Amino acid sequence: MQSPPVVQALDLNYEFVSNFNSHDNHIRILQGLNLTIVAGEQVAIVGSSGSGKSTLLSLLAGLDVPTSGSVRIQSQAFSNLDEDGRAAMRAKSMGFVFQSFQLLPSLTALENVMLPLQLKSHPDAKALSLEALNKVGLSNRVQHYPKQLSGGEQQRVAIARAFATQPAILFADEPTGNLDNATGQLIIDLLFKMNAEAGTTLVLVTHDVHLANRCQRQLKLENGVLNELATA
Amino acid sequence: MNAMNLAFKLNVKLAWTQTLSLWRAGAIRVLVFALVLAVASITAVSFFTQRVETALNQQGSLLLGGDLAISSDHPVTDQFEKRAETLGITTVKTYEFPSMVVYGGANQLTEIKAVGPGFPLRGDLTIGQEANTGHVVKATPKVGEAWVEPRLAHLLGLRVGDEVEVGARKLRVSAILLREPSRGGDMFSFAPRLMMNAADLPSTKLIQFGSRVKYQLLLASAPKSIQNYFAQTQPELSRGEKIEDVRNARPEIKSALDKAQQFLGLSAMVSVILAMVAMLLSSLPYIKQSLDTFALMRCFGASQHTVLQVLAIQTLFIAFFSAVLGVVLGFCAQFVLANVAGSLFLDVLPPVTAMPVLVGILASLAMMFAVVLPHVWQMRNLTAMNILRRETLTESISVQVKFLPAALVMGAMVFWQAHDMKLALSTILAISILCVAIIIISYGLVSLTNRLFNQSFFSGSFGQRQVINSIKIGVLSLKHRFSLSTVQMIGFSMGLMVLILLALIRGDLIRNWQASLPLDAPNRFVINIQTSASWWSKSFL
Ligand SMILES: Nc1ncnc2c1ncn2[C@@H]1O[C@H](COP(=O)(O)OP(=O)(O)OP(=O)(O)O)[C@@H](O)[C@H]1O
Ligand SMILES: [Mg+2]
Repeated sequence: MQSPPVVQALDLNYEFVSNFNSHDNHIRILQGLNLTIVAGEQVAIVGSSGSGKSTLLSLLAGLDVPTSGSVRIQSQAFSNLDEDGRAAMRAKSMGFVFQSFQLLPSLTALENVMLPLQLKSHPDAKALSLEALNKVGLSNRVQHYPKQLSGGEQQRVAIARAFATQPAILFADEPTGNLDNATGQLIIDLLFKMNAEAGTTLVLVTHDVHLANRCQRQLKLENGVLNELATA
Repeated sequence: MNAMNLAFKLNVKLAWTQTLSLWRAGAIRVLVFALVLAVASITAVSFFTQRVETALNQQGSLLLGGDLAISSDHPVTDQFEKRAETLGITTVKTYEFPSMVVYGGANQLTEIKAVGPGFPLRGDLTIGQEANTGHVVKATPKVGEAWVEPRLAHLLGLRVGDEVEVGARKLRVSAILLREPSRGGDMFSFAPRLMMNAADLPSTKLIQFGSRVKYQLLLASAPKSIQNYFAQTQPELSRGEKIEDVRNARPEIKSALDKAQQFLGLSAMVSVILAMVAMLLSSLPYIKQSLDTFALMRCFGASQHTVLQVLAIQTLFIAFFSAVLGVVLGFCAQFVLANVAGSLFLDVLPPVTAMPVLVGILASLAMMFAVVLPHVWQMRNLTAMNILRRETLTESISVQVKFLPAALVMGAMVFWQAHDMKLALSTILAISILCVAIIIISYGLVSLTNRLFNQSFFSGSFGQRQVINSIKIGVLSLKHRFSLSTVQMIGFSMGLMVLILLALIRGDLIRNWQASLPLDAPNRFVINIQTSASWWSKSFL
């Protein structure tokens, strides 16, 4: 490969310790997982429900800490960084779309989209946010609160929020999960347009065969490891 | 430096928009409402007692004729006067003694008061040519002159212009002395007053070894230097000397105020405790949303420092604006207090001071941070994912940690408002016993019902089983919510208990208060307090 890796996972292990009936149960989710993604790649991660896709994504973005193993983003190892260091990395180059959207109920759609830009003290936070909301087809919904929006609309706000910062790497967990075909297609087109125009690396978790098929690589998460699927 | 400034400005802006959004979304309304009420009741009481206290101090100064008085049965030590001089404190000396005053063939035992130049240092005298028309002066009788009370003029058949004999000295009566505030406690003393100039004293030859003279050194200056002077001088007093300040000039009114203050303070405390409980109960949505916001901010790359700063500023905003609202409300409420209760103490109350505003803001800050701090503490070493997965709100915080700051603030408020160690301690003890009792009872209830249902679960008919089943689900959810419902129970019973406590001690407080007022309390200062006290207490409770 010619480009350097932007996302790299080495021997990643992750387990939950759940305290049930006062016995410590260790649930092993990831078991020695390896992954390398280069700049500008489009990667789809598939797998059955509960296989650990969301967990993997949060580890790659440094939102959570693996039980063992390491994650490197743009050659910088997360294990060498503390929470603040990882946060700075995220601010610099990552965008994240949560499976459960994670919109703040007390903020309007526009305020939700503006938040990450404001944190970077971006001078055009409002204009950029309006533009992003416009792109996902929500220009008439900017002053609405999340509870006034449908599931799909909330999802699009979450996507607009990730788009607006124009990240180098975009992690998206089921970005089309709640959308009808037409709207889903709109979002997919937007994702690939970002990839084409700005070279944004896409790491997508999806059940959507159509979306997965448009990606250069498809990886299946099974038994705690990733297997490369032959692309169509 | 510049970048830091910019980041700070940004955080202020973020905190501000978030506070506004929280308000608009209705997440902090109950919280703010509780806070405003608490601040209002604290400041109303504080404004009111401050006003009465200032009035008492002013009255006290008038009564003393100065801010401070050193009285002695021998000439006041020179050193005390010199010290006053070096501190820039104004002084005047007075001499009081009983003596016969002779006019024509008649004589009368009189309370003579010889005053130096500048008397009275505080307040004034009312004199006139006749007994019923007078004018206010800030002066003393001139050398060779005397002012007499109407009673003395009447007893001796004196008129202005007549000459009386005081010891070996003849003095011309130049005015009738109609009012002398500094007579204060001696109001109903047996002998009438004659006031003369201290320069005439030697020629009367009345002051000799063994005469019963009350020597006084009056002092007046700014409160600061008076305090200094008092502190320095008090330990150096010798036998027969005493120092009085405005506080003990009218001990009976002072102790009435203390009782009223205690009572009002405890009422304010009830509202504070109720408000804190309300805040703790209503803070959950606010805390949840704040934690979510901060988790998300961390996801978007904000540093721990930024997150904490925004949270702190946001908490400050809420505390501050609630405090401002509360202070305004409290300010209005104190007018009502002053109208209902203030006129019982004094004719006119001085304007409010700024102190209660500070008190209100501080109380608001303390309450708000007591509610928020435990959650910040809990947040400090969690990953963003922990917070988003709600791993914090259910598990890692212990009830003790969560409620400790609130309990501390409540305890401090009780001590501060009760003005009495015994009362404060017994209140706190009672509240603690109550909390423990409720925890034991509710825990006992839950585990008892649990055991009962576990045993009878598989016996009985289908219908019975169904009923038992649904009860069991109820109990289980109760157990699940154990800590929250316990907190709610503690909160409500605590508020109730403080109310009951207040009702119980109310009678006692008012009885004490009434007893502390003298039967012959002069109308000038206390308007028929005996009869109005029952009305006051009725209308106030
Ligand atoms: N906080 C937690 N404690 C214990 N187990 C957890 C926790 N969070 C997730 N899990 C478990 O980890 C496993 C992986 O969860 P994850 O959310 O990563 O799955 P997923 O692949 O994203 O599934 P889906 O396609 O349904 O979104 C699941 O079995 C889940 O039950
Ligand atoms: Mg998932």
